[in-house]
Amino acid sequence: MELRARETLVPVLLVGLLVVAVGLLAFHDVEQRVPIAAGVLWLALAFAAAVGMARAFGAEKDRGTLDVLLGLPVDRGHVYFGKVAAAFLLLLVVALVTAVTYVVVSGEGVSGNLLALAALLALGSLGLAATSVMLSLLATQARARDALLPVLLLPLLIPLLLAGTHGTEDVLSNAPFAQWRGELFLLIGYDVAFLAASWMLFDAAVGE
Amino acid sequence: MLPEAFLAPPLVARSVLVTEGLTRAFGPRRALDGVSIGVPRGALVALIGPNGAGKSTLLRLAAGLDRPTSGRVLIAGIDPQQDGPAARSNLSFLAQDAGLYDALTVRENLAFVAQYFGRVAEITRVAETMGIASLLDERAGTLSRGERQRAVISRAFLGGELLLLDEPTTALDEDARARLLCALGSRRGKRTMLVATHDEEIAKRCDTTLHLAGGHLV
Repeated sequence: MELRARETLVPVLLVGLLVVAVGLLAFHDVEQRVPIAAGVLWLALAFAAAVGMARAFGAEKDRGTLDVLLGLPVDRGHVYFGKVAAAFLLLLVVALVTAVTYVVVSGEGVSGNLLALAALLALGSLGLAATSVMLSLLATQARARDALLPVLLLPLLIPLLLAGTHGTEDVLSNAPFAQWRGELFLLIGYDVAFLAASWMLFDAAVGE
Repeated sequence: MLPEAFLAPPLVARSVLVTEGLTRAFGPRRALDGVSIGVPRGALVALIGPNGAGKSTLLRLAAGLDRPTSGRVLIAGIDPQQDGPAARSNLSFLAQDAGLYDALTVRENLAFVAQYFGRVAEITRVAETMGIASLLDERAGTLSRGERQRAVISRAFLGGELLLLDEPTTALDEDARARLLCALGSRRGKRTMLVATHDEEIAKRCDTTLHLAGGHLV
């Protein structure tokens, strides 16, 4: 459905590209390029999650299809995981496009442990997807949901963003594994905690 | 037939939908207050009442889309709060503001629900009943308001045995309304239907009518 309508893909990609553009313009004469690259990448992902993924259930409610989805004779946790899977894939696309655009436009070339970078981005995208989708459901049942969502989302994302940016800096600087394994484990723990908690609470959150 | 007659044990035993002391409060306001009903299998029941009477609240609680403040709902003897998937496999809910996925075709929208109830083979027949067979391969986003309502009604008929319909005649023209009345009549005895409506024609054709006002059965 997203491939046909591109309702979410286009705006989140534009957000990512905008962050790259502003980051490169604002910090073009800063010598330390690795922190800039890490910041741009994770800022793009965070905004993509806040703008796009956090509308996962809000869009369903506006469209009048939320009741259809929640009325299906399946474990509602499956509905949650389905939304998370879709959000995760979209965020991976954002990460890839943002990274490639940054490299091409900045002309800085590619350095560092790319496999580790991919792992950090994948874990971060998963955590962003898990959190923003769950909060999207909670927000559909609140009155001022568009204002409430960023207020709820951004504080919860702080541990993930801290681990993501610091880990990315280390990885792009070719730092040894011991230096960034803490961030890696934090991301893994964050993902497991939020996925498990959201799955258990999802059904209870419907109708609250 | 008085609502209390539904609560006699033999009737409860063969009821697809039972509510016991169902209450839903939103802060100090009780949208539904101690409502107890039983809808027998195969019955066509109208739920009528003024705006704010609690009709939509009752249907949403029955559909498991909201949580009661107190009391309980049983769908074919199953409490949706205990076993949601099993309860939901027995029902189909049409909300007042039900919508479609605009990027999908009408057929895909219907199949999205029908596949869970083993009714994919019935899509064309149901679409013909509601007069939208020629629109099945059109994208839902291109439909008019009335055509969308016909499509969401068709989707509801492709769900579980118990049909919970909230104001299904909204935006329907005379032809669609007549088709809906015909569809409801032809399914009497085979499906169990609880219809919240202001439409007197529907109410007249029902086996019985439940009157709600201020969250109470009257």
